[in-house]
Amino acid sequence: MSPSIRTRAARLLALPALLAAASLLTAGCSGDPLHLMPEAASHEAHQVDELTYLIVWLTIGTFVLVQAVLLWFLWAYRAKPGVRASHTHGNHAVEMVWTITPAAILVFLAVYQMGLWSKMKSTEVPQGIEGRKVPVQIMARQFEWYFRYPGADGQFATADDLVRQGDLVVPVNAVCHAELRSLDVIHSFYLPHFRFKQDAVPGLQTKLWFRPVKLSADREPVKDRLGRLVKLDYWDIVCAELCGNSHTYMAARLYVVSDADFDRYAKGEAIQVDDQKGGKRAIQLAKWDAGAKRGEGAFWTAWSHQDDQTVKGPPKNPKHPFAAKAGEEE
Amino acid sequence: MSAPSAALQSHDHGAHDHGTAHDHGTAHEHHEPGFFRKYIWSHDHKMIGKQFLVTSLLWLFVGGGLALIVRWQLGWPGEPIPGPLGALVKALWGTDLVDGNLYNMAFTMHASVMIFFVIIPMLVGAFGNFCIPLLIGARDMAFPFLNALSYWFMWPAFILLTWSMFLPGGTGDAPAAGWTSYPPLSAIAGDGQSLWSLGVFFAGGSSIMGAINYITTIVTMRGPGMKFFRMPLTVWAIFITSVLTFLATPVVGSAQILLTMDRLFGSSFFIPTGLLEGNALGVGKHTAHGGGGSVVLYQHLFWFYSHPAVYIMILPAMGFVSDVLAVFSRKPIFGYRPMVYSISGIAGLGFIVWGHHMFQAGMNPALGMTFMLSTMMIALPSAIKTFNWLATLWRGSIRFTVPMCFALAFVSMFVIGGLSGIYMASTPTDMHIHDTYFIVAHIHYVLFGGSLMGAFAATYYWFPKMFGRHMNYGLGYLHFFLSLASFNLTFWLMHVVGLGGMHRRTQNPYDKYVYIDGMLPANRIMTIGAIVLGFTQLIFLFNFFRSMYRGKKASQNPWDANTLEWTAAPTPTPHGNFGPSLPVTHRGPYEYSSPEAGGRDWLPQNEAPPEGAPAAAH
Repeated sequence: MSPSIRTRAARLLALPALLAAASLLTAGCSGDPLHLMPEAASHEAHQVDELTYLIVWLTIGTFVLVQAVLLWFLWAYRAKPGVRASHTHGNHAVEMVWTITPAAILVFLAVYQMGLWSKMKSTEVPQGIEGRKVPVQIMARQFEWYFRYPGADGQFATADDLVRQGDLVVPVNAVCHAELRSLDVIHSFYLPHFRFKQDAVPGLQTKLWFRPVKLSADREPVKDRLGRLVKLDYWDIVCAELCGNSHTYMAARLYVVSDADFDRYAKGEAIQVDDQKGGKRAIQLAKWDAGAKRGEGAFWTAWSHQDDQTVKGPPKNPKHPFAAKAGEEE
Repeated sequence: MSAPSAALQSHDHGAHDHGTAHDHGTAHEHHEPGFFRKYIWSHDHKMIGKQFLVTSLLWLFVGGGLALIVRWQLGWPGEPIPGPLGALVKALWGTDLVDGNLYNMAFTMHASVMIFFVIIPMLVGAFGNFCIPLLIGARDMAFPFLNALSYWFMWPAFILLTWSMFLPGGTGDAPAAGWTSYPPLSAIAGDGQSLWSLGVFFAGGSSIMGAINYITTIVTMRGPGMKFFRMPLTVWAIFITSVLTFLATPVVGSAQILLTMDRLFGSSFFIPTGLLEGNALGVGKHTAHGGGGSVVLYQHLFWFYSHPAVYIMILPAMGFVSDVLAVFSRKPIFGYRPMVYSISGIAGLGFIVWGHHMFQAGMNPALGMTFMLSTMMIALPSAIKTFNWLATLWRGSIRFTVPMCFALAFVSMFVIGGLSGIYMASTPTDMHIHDTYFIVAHIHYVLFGGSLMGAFAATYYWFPKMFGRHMNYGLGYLHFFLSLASFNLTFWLMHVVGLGGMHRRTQNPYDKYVYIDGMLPANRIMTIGAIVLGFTQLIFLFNFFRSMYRGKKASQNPWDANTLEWTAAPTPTPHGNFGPSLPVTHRGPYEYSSPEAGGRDWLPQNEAPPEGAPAAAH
């Protein structure tokens, strides 16, 4: 290995090392210095942002380094009359350096993030996470979100369940432990301000949890297309998986409210939120069986049928060739 | 000494050089085949390569037009499409307003056309066919008939996908479930979806036939002296790509068959129990008795092909770019063997990373962690390749020809596409950016900034061999600068809006989401970039067809390259490629600026070393 190659290799290595150190230092500082992401509103969102910024600094550093080297070489080694290219087939030492360095960074990244991933995607609320547990069932269908609460008895699939379409209400600093399902196609439950996403897959009951730490009424104003600041009092719920021709309109609102407001809401009382037209609107849970009475029979039957499967065992179809004959049952 | 005379002076291997399929040597020079046999049902690998190239170039504009429908709606939502595109859309679908159905069809067909009809046929079909026999010193492919069949198998796919867009039900019946076509959405979609599945099946059949042919040709028909490690990286890349194609494509074909059975014959491979079916049509039929299938199963089958397919779409371009960089740096490729090993590494790892498309799909999070690790690791061989390309430029003598410019753009853009991949590989970060425009930015930096830039480099580079004429390089530079600028204008901002939480595949996200409404100005800029990018490609199309007839005549070896297509095969190349005897390969493909070469800075692969000289190490 010639000395010139060694100094060049050292130069190539010094910058990523510096960047890695710098990124680790900045990671702990502030949430989103470049304003890349929407406002963070859950405890885990801040942790995701830290990881994102570690990757941002690493990739921007590598990007600048590689593009600068590329431009430097293009300038320095442009064809000049009388100058012949050097004849070399490679250099093992240098190649080992640029194999091992990215490998080390990638393995570090992979290991570094495992904890956060397994915490956020845990189907049960992980140990050590304190706070009031709020169970919710989330049901997706084309092109609406339904949110069901267990009612006074704390059990789902009972007569006192309460349900509302389009608005999810949870108390601040609580742990919302939800079960996500779909009644038709795949949807995806995306909370951009919580950096959280989980597909609603037909046939699966997916458990998820999230922990809001900021009242939605305290949401920072967001800019609209003309740059005007708009004050909103909810966090967005987005359907992020293509689900049909009105996929784009499949939105819902997450209201993070005080404990007192939530207690009233969970009992079936109305709470007041902005209607975005300068006034207020009341949101209130409906009785579970009210949907059937409103003429949405098939939808409520299908949902209840899924309840039967999860609560009361597999479906029983008397016409099915393997169905137990009358009298043999139980 | 000119290169072809070197070929003719080399040892006569005529007695034992003939492959199993071709024993007629120069016989075809005596009777010119008729128009049909020459241009339509040709068995000549060069003509089949040109057929693939021309058709995929034309489809590029269909795919681009569909993309502009999408971009227009995102930049100016709800306003009629202006100009000739608006008139065309109105003539075809009766409206120039982009509603949900037209929008979903447009992005679905954009991706399907670009992947199945443009990138794969152009990289693998066109350049694979044209280059392999010429670069390894063979007279043709191992199975010329199968080769012709692989091209003509694309036509049922062309017809089916075109037909699917123009069904009596209008855009409501067209394929609109995305190029991934996840059931149950695709299972309950209109009739166009069945045609789409069948079309993909035919395109897959074409790929498999091509792959079998390439593998066989490269393994059995390399010319005398052409050892595996003397093959140009283009051939290596297509060889390994073909192995991927051969192993992965049958899986997506099976998935499409199963999906079609679910759609047409009442099976339920992918339909679980208890769905509310037909809701989109307002029927509300409750189908509790069907089902038992798995939605996630389709995703596993689909991505088991489609992730390797991403590498099928980038590895050949990496090969072309390696060759072009070496030629125009006048230097051997830095680390030839590590390049081969990293292509193999990408291919091997490419089979165990498919789950990273399904991190949010309800897969066990522990399994997600495994896929995260393998995905992180696949960045490594790509990084090695990038560093090797950079080192190839180091102390070179760089000639900024048009193919070189596109190859350099490939390296630069591929770095961005590779680095943005780390955000997705990282599972917690992916939770936020999955299904957002960040993903769209990433895939376009790899497939346009990578694959297509590589394909442009290859087109400008091999055009003189294909047609005996040069393309116009003034127009070439114009094409290059406008493409690079408008490409970045279009796709760079997608990273920003993606991190900002703008999800993809939405026809009018501004309506319901105020935080996305603020991104409308950025989307307008992207749309303007896309329009410029689209029109820039017309320059290329014009240049391509004009140069076929009016371009400057090309000399035998205009780039002073070492590889056999320039040094041994005459231009225009006759049927059978080489003269009475096959060229003998004496060394590796990248001996540029070698001290052995004397005054020249290139040393043809088929030039015999001087008497008494030691055998070349490479």
